[in-house]
Amino acid sequence: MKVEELIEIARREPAPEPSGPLLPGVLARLDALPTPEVRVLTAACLVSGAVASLLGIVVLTSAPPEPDPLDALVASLDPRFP
Amino acid sequence: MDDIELARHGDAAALGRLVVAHQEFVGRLMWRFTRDRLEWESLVQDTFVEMCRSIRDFRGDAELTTWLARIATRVGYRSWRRRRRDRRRALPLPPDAANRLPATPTPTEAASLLHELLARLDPPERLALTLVYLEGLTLREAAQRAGWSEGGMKMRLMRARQRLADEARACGLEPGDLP
Repeated sequence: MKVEELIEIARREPAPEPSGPLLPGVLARLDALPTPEVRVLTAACLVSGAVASLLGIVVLTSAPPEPDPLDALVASLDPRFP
Repeated sequence: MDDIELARHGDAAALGRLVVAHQEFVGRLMWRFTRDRLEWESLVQDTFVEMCRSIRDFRGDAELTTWLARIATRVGYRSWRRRRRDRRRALPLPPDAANRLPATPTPTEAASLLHELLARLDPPERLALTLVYLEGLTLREAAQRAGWSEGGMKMRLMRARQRLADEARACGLEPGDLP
C-alpha cells in the first residue's frame, strides 16, 4: 500500500464522541485558573524569590575571607609555652 | 448581538453556547493530535479554556472557526512538543507493520498506522503533514494556521515528506510520491 492511499483512508476517520458534555469540564478548568489577584501575588512571590536567590548566590559566591597567617601561627604555638 | 459579541462582553451563557456549538469541530481537529481518548478530551477542553480566556481579543477579522482552529492547533502542537522526549524512546515499528493491515483497511486502522508513523517525526514536520495532507489545507492556509511563514511551511513540508517516506519504507509501505 502507498502512503498516499493510507492518508486518503485515514482522513475519513471520524472523531470519537466525548464521554460526556464538555462544558462542565471547561468551566471547572476556568474556575481552577488563578484570579488576577492570585496571579499578581504569584508574580510578586516569584520576583521576591528570584531576588532572594540572587542575593544568596551573591553571598555564596563571595569568597570566604582568607585565613590570617598570624592566626594559624598562634594556633600552632604550644599553649604550654606562652 | 450574537453569541460572539455577547461572549466578548463577558456573557458566560453565550460563551457556554459557543463551546457547545463548536465542540464537534474542535473535537475533530484534536483527533489529529492524539489517539488517546482521555488526552483528546483534555486537549479539546484546553482549547476551549484558551478560547474563553482570549475571546475579548477576537476582532472578527476572520471566522470564529478559523480563529478557533488556530488555538486548537497551538494546543495540539504544544502537546506534541511535551511528548517529544517520549517519541525518541519509542521503539521502531515492526518492518511488516504495513503488511498486518487488511487489504482494505478501515479508516481507523489506516489512521492508527499513520499516527504511529507521524509520531516518529519532529513536531514541526508532523504538523506540516497533518495540516496539508490530513486537514487538506493549502500551503498558505496551513502556514496561517500554524503561524509560520509560507516559505517556512514549504521547507518543513519538504523535509517532512522525506522523513515520512523513510519511515514508511521501514515498515513495509510504499513511500509513494506525495505532491
